[in-house]
Amino acid sequence: MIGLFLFILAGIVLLTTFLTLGLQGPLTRDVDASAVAAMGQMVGLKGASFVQGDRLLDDTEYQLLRSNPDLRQVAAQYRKNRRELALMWIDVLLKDLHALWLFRQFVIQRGGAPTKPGEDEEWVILRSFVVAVILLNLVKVSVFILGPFALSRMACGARRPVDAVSRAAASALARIPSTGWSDLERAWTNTTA
Amino acid sequence: MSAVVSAFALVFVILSAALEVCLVWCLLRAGLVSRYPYYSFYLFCVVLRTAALHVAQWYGVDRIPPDVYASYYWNTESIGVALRCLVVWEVFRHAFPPGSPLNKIAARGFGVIAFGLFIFAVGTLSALWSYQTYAKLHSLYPAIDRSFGLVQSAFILAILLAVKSYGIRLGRNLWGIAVGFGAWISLSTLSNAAIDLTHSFYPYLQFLRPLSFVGLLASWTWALWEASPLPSVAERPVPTTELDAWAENWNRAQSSWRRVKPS
Repeated sequence: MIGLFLFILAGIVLLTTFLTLGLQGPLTRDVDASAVAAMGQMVGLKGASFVQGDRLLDDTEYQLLRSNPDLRQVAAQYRKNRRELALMWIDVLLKDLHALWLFRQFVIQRGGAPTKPGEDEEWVILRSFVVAVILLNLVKVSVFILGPFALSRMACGARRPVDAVSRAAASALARIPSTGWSDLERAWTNTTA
Repeated sequence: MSAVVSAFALVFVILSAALEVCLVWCLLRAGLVSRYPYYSFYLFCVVLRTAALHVAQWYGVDRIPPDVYASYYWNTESIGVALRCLVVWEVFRHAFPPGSPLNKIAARGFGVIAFGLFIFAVGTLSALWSYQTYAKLHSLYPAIDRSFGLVQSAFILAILLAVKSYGIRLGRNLWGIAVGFGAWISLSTLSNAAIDLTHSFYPYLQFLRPLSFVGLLASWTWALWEASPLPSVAERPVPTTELDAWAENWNRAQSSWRRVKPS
């Protein structure tokens, strides 16, 4: 009986691992670092460039304040402020996501389309975009309802799907010769202005 | 309930037949048979077996002696368990090609793992089948399937983890084959253990098993829709300074070891 339970447990663990690996997909070619940097400069990703997300959602100071009965009110105010900041950050990340989507379309219109026929890049970017929007909205709802510290690990990972979309946009930019990037930047600025 | 099962069986038969035809067409169209011969052999065996089962259905299962049909079904399933090793070997030989440095590093380790897992499979099979499965099902197949299925999925997972760790780009073909296959065998292991635990899982298994097989065929069709480049190690250029520093440290470690080593 115990043996069968162990088989069931092992089956569940293996199945979950394979499904996770399947969702991650095969290892792909690394995107050119200069294209990533150039894209960051052109699009101006305010949310994704904010590197203190983990500190914003860290509850150490809140717990410290809360442990002192005299500072309970301060702790409540602190939590409220953090919640507002976290919600603002997620809104900015959503804006970044939208900007990245538009930027990629803009780059593709100007010659950044995949060169090899049959590449399923469009499907990958669409999937990443949809997953990112759903995840960010889930995080937003969780922060709004449960507060900034309840699901802090999940909230800290909110930037990851935006990074995935930004890599896809950078790979489109990398297909355009770097000599044309300055013209592209000007055209992009005019479009968004 | 029987009408639902019949409708489901019909959908499964049509879907699996369509996907199998599509899969064979993908292999032939993209010239993948010569690239993946072991996998192709396994797939052709599966297709032939399914075709024979469809012919039996069309002819009328009632007109075939039950013993003959059951014996054919379960014996071919058991042979299929052994043939699955071909898929595992196909993934391994492409991920770590013979003669490559990675093969030299990984071959011995994987050999030991494979031997250990085989002993584990035989051990669990003989330990669990004799007093539990036989008493309940009078069938050796679920015990064979779950024991060998567990070790095959564990082995393929080990290959995938090594591939990720060494930064090998496996490509869509092999990645899809390996992940779809691993998920399917894991589910098979899980379900076979569950029905041995209690027969109340059996009705669910009637749905789950064909559904997971259709899922496997769909994932393989997606993976083999077009030929992907052969596996290669990710190009991550190492700065010369780092390489020199590493070589210097390594030489220093070797000379220290020689000094410490008793003669």
